[in-house]
Amino acid sequence: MLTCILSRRRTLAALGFTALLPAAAAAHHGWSGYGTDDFSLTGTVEGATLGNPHGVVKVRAADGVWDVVLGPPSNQRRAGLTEDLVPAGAAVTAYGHRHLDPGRREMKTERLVVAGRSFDIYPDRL
Amino acid sequence: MIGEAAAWLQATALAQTLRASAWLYPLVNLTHLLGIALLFGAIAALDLRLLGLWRGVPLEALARPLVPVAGAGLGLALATGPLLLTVQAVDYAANPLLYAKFAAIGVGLVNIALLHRRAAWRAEAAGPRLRAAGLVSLASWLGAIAAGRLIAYW
Repeated sequence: MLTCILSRRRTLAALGFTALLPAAAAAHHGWSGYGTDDFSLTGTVEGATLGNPHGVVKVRAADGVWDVVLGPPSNQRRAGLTEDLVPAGAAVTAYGHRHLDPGRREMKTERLVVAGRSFDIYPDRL
Repeated sequence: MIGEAAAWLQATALAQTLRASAWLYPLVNLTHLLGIALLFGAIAALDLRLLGLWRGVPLEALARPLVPVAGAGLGLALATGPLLLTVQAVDYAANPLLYAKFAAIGVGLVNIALLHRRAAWRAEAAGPRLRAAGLVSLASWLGAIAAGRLIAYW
């Protein structure tokens, strides 16, 4: 009797857990959460956390502050991009793809141009 | 208030070092994961026994190895979690799943304290109190793991 309840509970828990998984598909890991159209954003750097677990530059644009996502640390390293090269106040343009949710000010970046200097985060996608 | 504290934390030398490191952050991340694996692997077996499975095995005999293994795992996870938090503290502090995770951990810790307050719990065979402790434990640690994993996908 108890084991019957238990197994039902466990089945429910397993089902509940798998129900959470589709949310992962729409996330900033990978490109599936972003649109296919080319997108660019210009603004000024509010702040940047580069490196682990992935880089994010906060960019103030005309319509507010955007999350400009840069991908994993290895890509940033290959592009020669470090935190001190993205100082607050610098003029920045990011090329890539914006988040599928139009209400969300977030894009994932293939090329970041900071103060005229170009960093190719995903050279094979450009 | 929390936002300011998070901004300060994120700007510390420790957070900068973790962000810029090629090996340190993955190592801390791996240790956190190892802690979770030890904690949940051990505690899930003990919780299922508390819920009434394997009644032929004395609780005392199971608790002796499983409690210290789970405790060690919990220690590793608690020691490394705050380090992971520092690297993007501002974004994490704005993520509701972080607070769901903290709440689940809180429930799990209170549950441990309530069970272990009675030194005699290991000598009991079964009962509603043990079942409740096992159920709350399973739910809280599973909830903490699920919320923690989903922080990255929010």
